Amino acid sequence: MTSSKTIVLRSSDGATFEVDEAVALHSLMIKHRIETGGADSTTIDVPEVTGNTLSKVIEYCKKHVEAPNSDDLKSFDTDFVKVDQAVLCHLAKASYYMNIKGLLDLSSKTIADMFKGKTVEQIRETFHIKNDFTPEEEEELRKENSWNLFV
Amino acid sequence: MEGLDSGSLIGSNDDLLIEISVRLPLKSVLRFKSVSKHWLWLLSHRRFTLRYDNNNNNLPKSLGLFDTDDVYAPYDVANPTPNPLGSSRTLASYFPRPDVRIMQSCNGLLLCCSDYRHKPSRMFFVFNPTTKQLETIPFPPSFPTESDIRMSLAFHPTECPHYKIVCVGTLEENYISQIQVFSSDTREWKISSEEFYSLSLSFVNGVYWNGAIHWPPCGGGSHWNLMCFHIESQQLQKLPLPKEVITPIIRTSYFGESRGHLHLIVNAEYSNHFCVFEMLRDRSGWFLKYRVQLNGLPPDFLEMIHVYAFGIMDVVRGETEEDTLVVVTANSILIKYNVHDKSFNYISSDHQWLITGWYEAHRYIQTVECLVICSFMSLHYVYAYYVKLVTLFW
Repeated sequence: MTSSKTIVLRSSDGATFEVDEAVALHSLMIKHRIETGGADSTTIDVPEVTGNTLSKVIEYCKKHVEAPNSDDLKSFDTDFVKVDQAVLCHLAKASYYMNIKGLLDLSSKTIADMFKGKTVEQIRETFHIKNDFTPEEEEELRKENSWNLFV
Repeated sequence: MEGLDSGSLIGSNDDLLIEISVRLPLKSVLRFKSVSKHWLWLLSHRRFTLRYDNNNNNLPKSLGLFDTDDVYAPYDVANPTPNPLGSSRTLASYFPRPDVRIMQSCNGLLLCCSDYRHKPSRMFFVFNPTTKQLETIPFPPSFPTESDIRMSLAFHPTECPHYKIVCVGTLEENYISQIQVFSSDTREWKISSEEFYSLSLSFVNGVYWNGAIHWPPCGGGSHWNLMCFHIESQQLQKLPLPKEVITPIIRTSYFGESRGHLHLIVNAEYSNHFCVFEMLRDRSGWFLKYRVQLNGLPPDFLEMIHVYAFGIMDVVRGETEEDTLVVVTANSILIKYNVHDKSFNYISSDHQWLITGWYEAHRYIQTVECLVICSFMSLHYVYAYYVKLVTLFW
């Protein structure tokens, strides 16, 4: 049996997860923490990420570290992001914060694909953004983009 | 309820917004600029535009060619990019003046001139064909409006967010030529210290490379000149011609830049093969980069080279050496030819391709670089900067 070191990751809501060091190092943020860490580098706090999201992130890292050349990696990734919008957004945020490039690419691309066809109004609704252009400013914008027939 | 969470999760996080936006198709990026002032600012900011322009997608940076007008020929045969101007719109429809032609393409921006048939009304513009942003260039102050002025555009997005225009013109009083430089950040023309009699120099068809505008060889007999004007130092420099070129008659068959390399082809008109020279970075000379043999092309095309006008439209360096292309034309047919494996493809343009001069073909490079942000946004810039400052110290 290989004696691999394990790391404990603690989420924002106090949930703890014991993972192999190799899996944890898939996050460059954690790698950096361990490399520059002091005495207690066996428990690492990840305050930006909730327990639910962290468990999914770990699932992703496990698969990519333990079986990086497996044939079903692509289908794993495809299925991995078949989650609802909220989970997807949390995954994107976590992967950005934890610096996991593959997961950031995957989740951001999936979100981008979800939003690319939306209208400006729909984007405002989804992100709860107020339209802060005055009618005159919108007119100036419209003139600049007058070639764009699709709103 | 969860929708509320995820929306504000991303919406309030600029870094995440950028991560997602760099993976959006171009149309969506341009459309979403209308969402809010913050999105307009973010999607126009260099932090985003530089990343977006360099990020994607295995697309070659040079997407196609314009002629001086609206005719567009995409390079990718499998996934041709549509004419960015729209196939039913004319180039002039984006401009406030008629008779518009493209003079130069430089890293995604186009230098254009209107009223080209009527000099006194002539106006110059910098146009981004991807975003359709347009900036009018004020006429250089000391040159008479009917005079033959020569304009060149200098722009490189990663070097500097601002573009410069170099104008060579002649003063009325004494026929001395002067060089002025316009900068897009100050929007002012500054007169350089270079003054000369320009009777033998032409300063047309300039190419921006390595911090300077280079003009193709001009002259005759034993007097040939290859000049460049350094943007920073504002000085002219005379450059050597390739030493391999020894014939007294030099016809520039191609002069252009690609991926940081400056290429020159001379005297290629009447043969099936030609040499592509590349300039050394210190400008001390040239070296022979490629010997291009066109024998791999279809015989009926090769026949046309001798009968019709043959032109070299572009030399495009690929991301790898194996992807380097030369685009040639004869009798309205366009072919892109891979210099290494000698494979070739016919390229089709949306209207008939009539030009044969390299200086009449202008590359299309997609860029979301924002020339100028709407006037009402200037306050927003100050606000955004202030917010950043406050959050830094809090």
